[in-house]
Parts: sequence; structure tokens; C-alpha cells
Amino acid sequence: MRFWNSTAKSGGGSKTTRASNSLYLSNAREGETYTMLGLEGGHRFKEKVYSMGLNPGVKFKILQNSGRGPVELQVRQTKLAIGRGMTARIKIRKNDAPG
Amino acid sequence: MTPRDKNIVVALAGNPNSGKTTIFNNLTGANQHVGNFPGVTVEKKEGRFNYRDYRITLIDLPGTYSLSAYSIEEIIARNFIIHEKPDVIIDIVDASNIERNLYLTTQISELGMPIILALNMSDMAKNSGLMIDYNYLSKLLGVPVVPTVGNKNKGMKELLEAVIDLIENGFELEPAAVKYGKEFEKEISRLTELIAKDSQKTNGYKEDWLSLKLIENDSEVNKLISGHSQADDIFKRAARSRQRLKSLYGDEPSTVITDKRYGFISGACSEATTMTAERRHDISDTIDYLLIHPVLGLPMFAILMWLVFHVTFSLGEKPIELIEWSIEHLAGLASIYIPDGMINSLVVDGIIGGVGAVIVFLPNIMLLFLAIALLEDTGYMARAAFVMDRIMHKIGLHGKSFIPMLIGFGCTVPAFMGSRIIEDKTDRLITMHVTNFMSCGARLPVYILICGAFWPQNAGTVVFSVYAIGVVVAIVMVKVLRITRFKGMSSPFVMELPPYRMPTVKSLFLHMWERSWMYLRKAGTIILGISIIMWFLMTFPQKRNYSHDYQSMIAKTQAAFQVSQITDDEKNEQITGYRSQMASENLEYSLAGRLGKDIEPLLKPLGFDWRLGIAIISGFAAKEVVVSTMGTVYGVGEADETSESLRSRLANDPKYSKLIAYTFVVFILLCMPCMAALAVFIRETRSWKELLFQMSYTTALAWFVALMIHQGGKLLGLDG
Repeated sequence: MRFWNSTAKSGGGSKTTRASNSLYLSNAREGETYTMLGLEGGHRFKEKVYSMGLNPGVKFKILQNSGRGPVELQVRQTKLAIGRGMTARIKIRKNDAPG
Repeated sequence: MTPRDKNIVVALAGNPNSGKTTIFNNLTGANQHVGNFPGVTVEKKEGRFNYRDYRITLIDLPGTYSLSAYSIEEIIARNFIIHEKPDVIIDIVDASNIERNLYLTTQISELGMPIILALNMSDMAKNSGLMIDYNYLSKLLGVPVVPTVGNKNKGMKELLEAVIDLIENGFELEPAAVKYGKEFEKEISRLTELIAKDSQKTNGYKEDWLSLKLIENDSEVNKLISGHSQADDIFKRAARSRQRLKSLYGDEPSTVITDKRYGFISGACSEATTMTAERRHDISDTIDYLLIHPVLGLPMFAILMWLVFHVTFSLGEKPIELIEWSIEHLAGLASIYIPDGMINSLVVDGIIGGVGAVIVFLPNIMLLFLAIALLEDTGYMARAAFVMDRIMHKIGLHGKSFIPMLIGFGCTVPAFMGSRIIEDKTDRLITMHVTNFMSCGARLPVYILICGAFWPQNAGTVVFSVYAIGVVVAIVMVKVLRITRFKGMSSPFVMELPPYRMPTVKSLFLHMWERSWMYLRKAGTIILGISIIMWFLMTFPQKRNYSHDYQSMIAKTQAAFQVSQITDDEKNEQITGYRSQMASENLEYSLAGRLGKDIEPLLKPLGFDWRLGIAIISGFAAKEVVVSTMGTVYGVGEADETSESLRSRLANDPKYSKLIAYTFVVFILLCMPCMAALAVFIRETRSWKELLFQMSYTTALAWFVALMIHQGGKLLGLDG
């Protein structure tokens, strides 16, 4: 972690960005786009989320995150709702602003 | 082979919301049968039709995102494919969301069955700017691809042609398999070798598929392999494989497998599809902005639910009157053609009365299920769950549980049936165990009668407090059940919010009809049986020696009328009085009456006497029967909730106080649901254990809460 952080400024390698920008879905901001990193939890939860199209590496956009209740996001061509309790276990990375 | 000898079985697989059901309806029309998969409450739809020389049986598999062993639907879908070996699997893929949908396809391919890909909603995909090269995609995936538009009934013939073609001529390619890489292949072949040593135990599963599933640590496959003669070696090997792959890839093998599948898919899609436009803000986004808005979402939901209720119960009124009228006339006819006596009473009071009381709800049920179908098919149901999740989560359930609970205020029967929308079994059971406390419409007449008698000035407020007690008890019980019988968290709430769609009239009505027919069938079987038992309990043994000689008293009255001593009205009033006193004595003498007296010691601490005991027992047939039973017990003839004579009898009875009245309505609120609801409960849960639990705990709770109210009230000196 530390090592990656120290080189984060160069902004080139994927590993550096991953470590410096990683956060949990619960903290994601409305209207921003993120990349799925992975999730902490059992196989059951993992397979469910991944099979619904939110698998590591996929990009998605936050449609609603009001701080309470489920988070709504747009991934691939569909919208998913994820319960508040689950969002604290889903690791994501903020995408660089387009352009 | 002669025509019609060629029976083939075709299974429809696909994601939820991929339009699977629409295609199923298009292909089978009304020739469908809805049942359950063996041993579970997952709906199994089956339809038969002829096409060319073939007799086709079409099975609609449960909609799933994956074929892992993590949900009952997934296990069912995959076991059906493996054990029933359908001749062809049609995999319905939502073309506008092709990548996610193909994830399931990669897993179906691994089962090694003939597949046809139906690229459904291909028009929507095109409109959103997604161009798909069908031929190329077919080559890449190794399966025939047919574009369809289910809701416009397009591509159905082509789909069937493809099925026939696949059966008669096969396909030039094999379904393409995801390449998991050399290391995986090595581990798979090692495991396959071990498994092949005892091929008896593989139960029709492909060995390399089993090996892959062992690496994924699939619970169902682990169970299967534990019966294998080499089980120990296989499990050891699988654990080593997982360990090795984990250290190689730095991640769980199951996650790597998911990655590889998506990798394969995006490879195929990037070659066979082109996106010509950016995703635009569409109409669904606009509607969603309103309907799941953090502030506006809840009031919008409340308005929609109020509408559902209003429509269900107000539009239902007229047809219900019509049914009541028909039942009365049927009973009238039966009384004319069947001579007075036991048989007459059995047919009129027992069968027509009992089954009639249940059929009366049919219009409500049909309307309610029409409304639910509308909410489901448009896509709103998922939004309702979204909006309610915040509140329901605090209680310990998630959003979807709210819908059956709300329906419970109307009638517990459709509420139990409606709990099907909750996928998770534990959540569903907990919801069904507290639905009873959502005071149903049939209990209302009881409250109106009792509260009207004892609180003529503010009956409304008192009735409202009863409803509120029900809601509080439900919330408390969810928490209690979560920490006692159903330990653990509520299932993870992850749900797709499908795009809003215009439902087809055909699918709405098919949906409504299926559910209503199930309800009717129930009325014809189990409820008929229970009605006869209830009639028997309330009729036998027959009393021979009444306290008065009512027959001669009636004769005397009639004689007095003959010689014009009394008017017609007076005569009728007197005769009705005698008859109901007879009925009252009879009921007291019957098994139900004795039961009422037998349980009196139990009811004494609550302040109830045997008459209230009989009323409670009769409530088992249907809650509103409590009112008519009280009419019989008090010998006031035909009684309904507004009956003045019954009200004044109750209010003036020195044995009863306001405290007892309140204790009684709370008991009626909480005690076990009526037989119709219980019959549906057993059908939905398929568990006698849960049924017994439901019956006993609700009634015990009713007793306990009633005891607290009564004894607490006495301590506070409220029993005056």
C-alpha cells in the first residue's frame, strides 16, 4: 500500500491508481463514474453481484446515493440497486475525468 | 416416425427481465400449465403445442443470472437441464444488455447441451445504437442465433424453425467453451481422472463440469461427490487445486473463473457488435428520477399503493355482491330441492356457506393480482422495493417484504400468495409469519361490532388502535424471529431495476388468471373439506331435549296468527326468536360448544366466557364468521356487525366490560389466520412444521398479549 501510494503521483500504472483512489461504494458520489475492484464477502454474495454484471474491472455510474437506503447505479445497460449494508463491502476506484 | 410421435422437450433459460415469459406466452398461448418444481415453491410453467411434425413441450425455467448453487432457482434450472435433458435449450438474451446476459450463456454452454440463442428485444438494441452481427456472433459462440422481439411477437417462427433444424440437422459448430487457461485445465483433468474412477456416482453430470464446479467449491456438487467412492481423495485434490490456483492468480479461483467468463464475452462482443451511439438519457431515467427520488419516492409509492388498494376493494364490491347473491340463491334452491334435515343443513350451511365464504373473495383476489401483475410487468415493483428498503431494513426485512404485508391488510390469502416475490426463503418465511398481524379485512366486522357496542362515540379511534397494535406486534416479531428461529442477517439486497416497459394485455390476464385459478382450486378441495368438518363440529351431537318446547311454541304462534290475534310481523319476530334460541341451545350442546366450554379455563384469565370461546373457534372457518356465531350464541337470530340487538345485548351484558371487549378484539387480531389462509400457507411453504409453528405461535402470542392487557387493565382498575 505504502509503496504504491508513494508513486501515485505519476498516475501512469494501473496499480498506483488502484491503491490511491480505492474506496467503498457507500462513499461513492452521485453522477461520478467508477471502476469495480472487488468485494469483501462470501462466495454467495460475490457470485450474485458479479453475475448481475458488476464484476471486477467493469465501469459504472452512480445514479443515486443519498447516504441512506440503497445505492442505485448504472452498469453495462442496466440499473442495479444495492442495499446500504452491502455497499460498505464493495471496493471501487474513481475513474479519471473523461478527456 | 409418424407425425405427432416426435415429442420434443424445449427449455427456456435466461436472465430475469429478458422477456422470457413473453416468449413463452407467445409460443404456448393459453395451453399452459402452472405448477411447482418438485418440493419447492418455485413456479414451473409448462406448455404444449404442435409445430410441423412435432409435439413440443416447452418448459419455462426460473429466470437466473447464473447457474451457481447459491439460489434455489439456479439449482432448479441447472438440475432440470442436467437431469431432464431437454432436446434443445433456448437461451433468451436481452440484446440491449448482451454482455451481462451472455454470462449465463457461458455457463449453460458448459453443461454440453444443444443451445439456441434468442437475441430478444433486438429492436431496442438497434434503437439504442447497438449493431450486432448475428452470423458472426453465432460463429464465435458456436450456437445458432435468432433475433426476436418478444413483445411484438416477432421471430417466433424463426425460433421454432431453428429448433427443428437443430434437432434434424444439428449445428456445424460446438458451443464455444470459455478458456480458463492451462493451469485450470491441468487441475480439471486431474480431478476428472479421479471422478471417472466411479462413473456410477456422477449422476449424469459431465465429469469435467463437476471438476470445474469442485474448483469453484460449489456446495451442491460437493454434496454429490460426498457419495463417491473416492470422495476423500477428490476433496483433498480439489482443495489442493484451489490452493494452487489461488497462489498462482492471487485471487479466489471462483473469482478468476468469473473474470475469464466475462473476458470471453467481451472478446466475442467487441468483435461481433458495434456501438454507434452513446447511451442517452432515456424515458426510464426520467420516470425513475421521480419514482425513486430520495424524498418524492416514498409519497409516490404511498399514492400508488393506495390506488391498488382502492381499486382492489372498491371495484370488487359489485362483483362480490353478485357472487353473494348467487350463493344465497344457490342455497335457496338447495333448500327447496333437498328435504329439511341433516343433508339440507350440510349442503346449505356447511358446503355452500363455507365454500361460498371463500369464493366471495375471488373478485378482490383477481383485481389484486391484476394490479400486482401490472406493477411487476411495468417494472415498478423493483422500485417499490428500492423505496421501502430503507424503512424495512431497520425492521430486519428488505424492501420486497413490504408488498405482501400491505396486501395482508386486505386479505391474508393473497398476501401469502404474494410473498412469492421474495426470493430468499428465510425472508419469505419471516414475512409470512408476521403477515397475520396485518389485520385483514374480514376481521374488521368483528371490530365494528364490538367497538361499536362498547365505544359508540369513538369506535373509529379504538379500531385504529387495534390496527396499530398489529403493526407493532409484527415489527417486534420480525426482530424476535430473526434472533431465535431464523438467525442471521437478511439476505443481501441486490436487485436489478429493469427498464420500464408497457405490459401486454395478454400477459397481464394470463398472470391474473393463473393465480386466481389456484385460489379457486383450493376453495374446491381443502376448504371444502374443512368447511364440512366445521359444520360437523357446530352441528353434532344434536340436542333432543330443549329447555323449552320450541316446536309447540312456534305452532302456538302460528295458530295465534291464524285467528288474527297477532300481526304477520309479530308472528315472524316471535318465530325467528324461538328458532335462534333453539340454534343457540344447539350450538352450546354441539362439539364446538363443548370445546368452547372445555377451553373456558384457558380463557378465564383473559376474562372470556365459553360463548366468546365458541366465537373464537368459529373464527377458524373465516374471521367474519365470529360475528354470525355471536349472533347464534346470543340467540338474536341473523346478526351482522351493525345489528342493534346484538350490540345492545353485548353492551348490556353484566359479564362484559370495556376491558374484556378490548381484550377480545386484540385476541381476534392476533390469533391464527383462518383456514383459507392456512391452506394457502401450506401450499406456499410446503412445510407442516412451519404451518404448526404459524398456528401455535400466533395463537399463543394472542393469548399472552390478551392476558397482559386484561390483567394489566385490572391492576389499573379499568375493568369497571
